[in-house]
Amino acid sequence: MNKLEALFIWIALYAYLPGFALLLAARVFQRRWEKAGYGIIAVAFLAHTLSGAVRWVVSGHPPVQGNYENALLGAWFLILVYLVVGWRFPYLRPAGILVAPLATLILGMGLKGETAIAPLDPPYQSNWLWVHVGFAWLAFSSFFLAACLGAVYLWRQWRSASAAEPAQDAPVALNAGVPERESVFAADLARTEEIMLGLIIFGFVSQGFMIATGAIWAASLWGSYWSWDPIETWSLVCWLVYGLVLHLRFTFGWRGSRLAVLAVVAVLTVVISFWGLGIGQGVHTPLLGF
Amino acid sequence: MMKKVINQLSSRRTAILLLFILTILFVAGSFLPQVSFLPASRQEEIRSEHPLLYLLGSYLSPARLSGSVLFLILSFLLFLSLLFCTLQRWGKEGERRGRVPFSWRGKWRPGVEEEVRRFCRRWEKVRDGEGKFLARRGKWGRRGSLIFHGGMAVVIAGAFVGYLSGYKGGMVVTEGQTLPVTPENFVMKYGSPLIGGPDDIPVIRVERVTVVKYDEKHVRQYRVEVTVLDREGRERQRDVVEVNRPLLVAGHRLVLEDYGVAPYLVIRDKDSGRVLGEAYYNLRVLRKPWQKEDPVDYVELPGGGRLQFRFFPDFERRGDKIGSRSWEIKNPVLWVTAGDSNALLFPGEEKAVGPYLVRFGDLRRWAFFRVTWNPGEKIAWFGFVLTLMGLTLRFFDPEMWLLFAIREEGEEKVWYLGGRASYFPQSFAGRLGELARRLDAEAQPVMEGSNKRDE
Repeated sequence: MNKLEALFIWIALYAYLPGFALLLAARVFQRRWEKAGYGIIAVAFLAHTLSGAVRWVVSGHPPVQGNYENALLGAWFLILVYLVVGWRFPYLRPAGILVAPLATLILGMGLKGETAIAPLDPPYQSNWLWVHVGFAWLAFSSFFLAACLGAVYLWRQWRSASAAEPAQDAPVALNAGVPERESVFAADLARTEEIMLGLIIFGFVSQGFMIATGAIWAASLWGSYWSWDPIETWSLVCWLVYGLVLHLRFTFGWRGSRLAVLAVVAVLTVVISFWGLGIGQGVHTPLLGF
Repeated sequence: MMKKVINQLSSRRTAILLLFILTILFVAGSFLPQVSFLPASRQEEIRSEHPLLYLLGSYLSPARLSGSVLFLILSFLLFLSLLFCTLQRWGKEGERRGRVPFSWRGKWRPGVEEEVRRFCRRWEKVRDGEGKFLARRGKWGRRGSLIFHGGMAVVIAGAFVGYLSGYKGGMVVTEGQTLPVTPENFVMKYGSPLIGGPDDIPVIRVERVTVVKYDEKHVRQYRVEVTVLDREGRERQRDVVEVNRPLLVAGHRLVLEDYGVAPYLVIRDKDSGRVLGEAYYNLRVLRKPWQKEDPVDYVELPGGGRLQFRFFPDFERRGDKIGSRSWEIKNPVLWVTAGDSNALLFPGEEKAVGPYLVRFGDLRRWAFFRVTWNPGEKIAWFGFVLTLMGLTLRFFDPEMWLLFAIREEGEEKVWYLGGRASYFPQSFAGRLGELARRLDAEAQPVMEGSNKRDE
């Protein structure tokens, strides 16, 4: 690892910590520290971006090869989606209490492995790779953030037993908008649910593109667009599971806490798809060492 | 009876149930040994250590399951289900389900109707009268849903066509060798066409296999120069095949998957001088520099004998140890073993090894190509495009309804406004609420039921 790259990544890692601490303290002590926490995470993200950029320049390729580079890019996308959602809907910024440690954990797992810069191996020399990996991380980050919002939703509902689920086709009220400065814990649960659903939809579409672009890449790398190796299988399983979640929501009307539970449980398929199968170790590798 | 079956197949519950069963099967199968992707040695290891797991993996690992009758039946049912679901709903995508309730009311003033019409100026007016209209958007969203499901049915249809009339295999071609791309020349073969087959069989000759490097340690690319010939031996094209750059010829896709060395060996019986083998022997194991583990290649000879080979591309001796300095073929040496007897052979040398005389001639390289002939692939790609297009339309043009009416209530003239969104009702409510505020709506929202006569 280049010295400059190492410097930036450690700045990012150390900055995610106070960002998380401020967001948590804002909840625990009921102080207005959320903006500062969000700002620190944004600064950490800048350092994270610079670290990735230095690695890209030095290696001559985007960081997509090996465990460390996958962790670097994965955590980057996760924080990016969080920052975009937090910027658009400020009352969702406390979700950083879950997102920042998760990104730190992903980076930590990456740093445990080989971090040396290596030129791109022949299988990775495909323009489809960037598209495939980009869509993969957009999908995974959206699913992770949806799961975080699902957890927040459930926690809020547990705290406030009086919160009622919105009924389908309920007449829309004049005061249906959410006050911008309100925290997620006091904001309309229905709005949180909608953003969670929006993230699931965004992730589902992105993963559809990820699977299709992966199939195009596979056709030129392995000769066939689908080989049923464990990663492909789990990507499909993950997509089908989220498809099932969307069907349960739109066809069978599962809403509120049931949808939040689904968002939290379904993210396990992402965890297994990525960390359970060790994508970073090779193009695709078998599960459980088999 | 037929109607009942079609109704059952076109229900979303059936589609979801089938998807659920397939998901469960694939989840379970992915934890079993992936027999199709393991090298023979690892397969053997698992077979002896975990015979039950190996047996289950042989039938239920996703790659094996996908070729089973069970999978074919389930995916065929899914195909029918998707097809019927799509066909049954085609043309009905604009139908309204349920009521659009009124939510706001306010005193009429000039310009109210015009402002609401401006709000939904690009929306389709389903019913339009003076002082009353019902508008909607999201027609493409509902069509997108049908295109998406239809696209998935096309993908499955493409996979079926590929399964029934395509084949996959692998062939090894040594430098200078010319081979027709037919399943007879495959060293491994998956499936054979049940219907049809390729009309045009290309013939390929491998001219040269090279390894391009970044530096001592890192490979940049594996490159194979290939000449494609027709059946009469006339040259059709010259091309370079690399990893990620397949050769596409006459509907066949040849992907470079592996390479190795092939020493030219003449093996004779030491006593009788009878030639037992004379060919380029494709060695699978290219020894890494100072490799600790000890994989070997071997050849079975007539009469039950066996010769083992260890190939050192850049031979080096350190005391009593032998090894390879690098991957480069700079100083090739072949270590041949027969029982307790062994010999080191340099190119051009002939030595006695046990009961055999072995001569090491020149050295060439071989390339392993994975060959695919899949007439269903284009159908599947078309299905992929439809699926993604449908998916994008589905979620980027969500369905929304808006109902507006002006009524006389006693002396007063009032307006009513309502809306419904299937995907994001709260966001839509926010937008509609802003509009209502601009129209000076009453502070309290209207309760349901007040609009029944307008429906």
